[in-house]
Amino acid sequence: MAAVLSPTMLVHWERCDACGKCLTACTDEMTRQDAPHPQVPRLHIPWAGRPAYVALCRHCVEAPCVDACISGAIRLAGDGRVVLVDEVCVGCWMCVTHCPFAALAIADGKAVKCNICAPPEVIPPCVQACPENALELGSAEVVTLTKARARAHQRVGATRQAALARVPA
Amino acid sequence: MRRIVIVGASAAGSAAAEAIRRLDRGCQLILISDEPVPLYSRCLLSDYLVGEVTPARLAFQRPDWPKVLDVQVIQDRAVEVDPRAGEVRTARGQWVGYDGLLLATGASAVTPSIPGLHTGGVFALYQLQQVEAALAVLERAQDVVVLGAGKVGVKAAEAGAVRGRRVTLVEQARQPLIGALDEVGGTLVRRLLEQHGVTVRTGVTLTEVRERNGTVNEVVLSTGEQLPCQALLVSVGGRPNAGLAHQAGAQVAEGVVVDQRLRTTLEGVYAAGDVAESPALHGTRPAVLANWINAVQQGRIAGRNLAGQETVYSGGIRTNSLRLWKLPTISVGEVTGEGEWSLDEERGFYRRLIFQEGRLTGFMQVGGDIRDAGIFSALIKSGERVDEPQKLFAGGFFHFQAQRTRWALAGVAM
Repeated sequence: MAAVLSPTMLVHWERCDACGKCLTACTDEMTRQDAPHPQVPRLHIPWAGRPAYVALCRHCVEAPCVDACISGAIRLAGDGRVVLVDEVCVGCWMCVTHCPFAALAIADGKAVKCNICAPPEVIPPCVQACPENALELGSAEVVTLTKARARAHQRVGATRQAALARVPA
Repeated sequence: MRRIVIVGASAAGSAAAEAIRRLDRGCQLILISDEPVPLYSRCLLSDYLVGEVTPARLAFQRPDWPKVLDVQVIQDRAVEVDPRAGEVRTARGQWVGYDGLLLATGASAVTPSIPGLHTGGVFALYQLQQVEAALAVLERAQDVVVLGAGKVGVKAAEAGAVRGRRVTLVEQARQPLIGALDEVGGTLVRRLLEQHGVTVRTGVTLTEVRERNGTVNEVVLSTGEQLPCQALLVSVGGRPNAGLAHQAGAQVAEGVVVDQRLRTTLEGVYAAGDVAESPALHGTRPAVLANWINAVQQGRIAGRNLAGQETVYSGGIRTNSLRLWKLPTISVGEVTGEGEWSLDEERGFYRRLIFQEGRLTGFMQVGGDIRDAGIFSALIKSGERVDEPQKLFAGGFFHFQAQRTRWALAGVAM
């Protein structure tokens, strides 16, 4: 069996022009799924400049929101998603206080976040809706690898090639 | 077979058990706890007191987690550690040998020394049974006095107020939430409490508790005033349960002193959570950081080290978040320092950023939109230089204006 990759959402900031189509796609999908707080988009665009800032859950491997949750509402699911269960949330805002991506929304005294709509083989509606391909569903392992490569690229001089050689392609 | 013993089943203890099992399925894992396992979430007790959480929702773990993780639970109190023999003794006299030991014994409520305090109708709010007893008395008490206006104290005042009781909140310091908020923030919280009918008395203490028929009837303030009182809720802070570590001979300062790998000064003995005095972030003074997220993270790191994977704890920060009526209050890091601040008085919205030498060291907010609070926490944790602090207010994605744009885009009413 192939290794299961932890899903993560990626944002290409420079491509986003803050059209807001992902937000509508999200609320439509939440309504269709009959999810709690369907009118609250699970992602948002707090800064609509260039590059824009799109805030959404990255489904961190070691998520601060999971560590911070006092009620057990936010958990790391077996498939690597970071999932919030609405009925359990008490609205203590510890997750909001510790999410470095500002990914949690607030509605009716509860935290609301992206649970990732579909299993990894299906493309989530927000990703589909983006005309600029600014959103991408990836895997945490690949992102880590890419980041490691990027860091390696940043090193200059004699160590650069050596550093690159250590990172698996 | 290697045997790891964990004392304490709350945030740190259970996070450690999870971390150990992730790395080592083979070792024997024993959990000693004097409270039922799975344990209720202590942080939820004040919400339970207010009536925002039902008893069924107090647990933070699945009921079967000891079984899932193959943890053997000993429902007893650990009373003695013999570090030379590598054994823990429980109150019933059972000796449990260990190869690795984690002390996650947490903290307990400080009892102030006030004459007459030990009578009926007086409650600390640290354990479930204390909160349940307080709830029963709150049902019939007319006059409620809350001593201590920390996080638990203000929630206790809310609990009395939502039940229509006459509540007096007594605080020795000059404002509520003194360790978490500055004067402006404290004033906003005081105003909120007063709006809901709570009498907030700051700069005073209780000097005497008077009883009638074995239950509290009146309290005397340091000003000499006498207040009628049928329920006295006491929350003047916590103190690490470091007795076990102290007895074993580990170094104890404010809490049990641990290094970056959460090791105590005793061989094979670790400590994590509210009991530990751990190295703090960016080389600041070691401190006891009694909050949930630090306990979980310390527990996990202690667990990894116990399971043989060397892991370093980078240090935690002081953090507080609280919902009082509907008003969110968040405070992270330092409370004093040079500050950039903003106040929207009309809506009771306050945010302050605190800097030291060009680095963000503290953040506090009362009311308003808290969605980007985590970005500030991340900035505090990373310790990076912020060359133009005003930009955190007036530029980039931190912009207040951007927040409004965000809400407009998101179609959510403020």
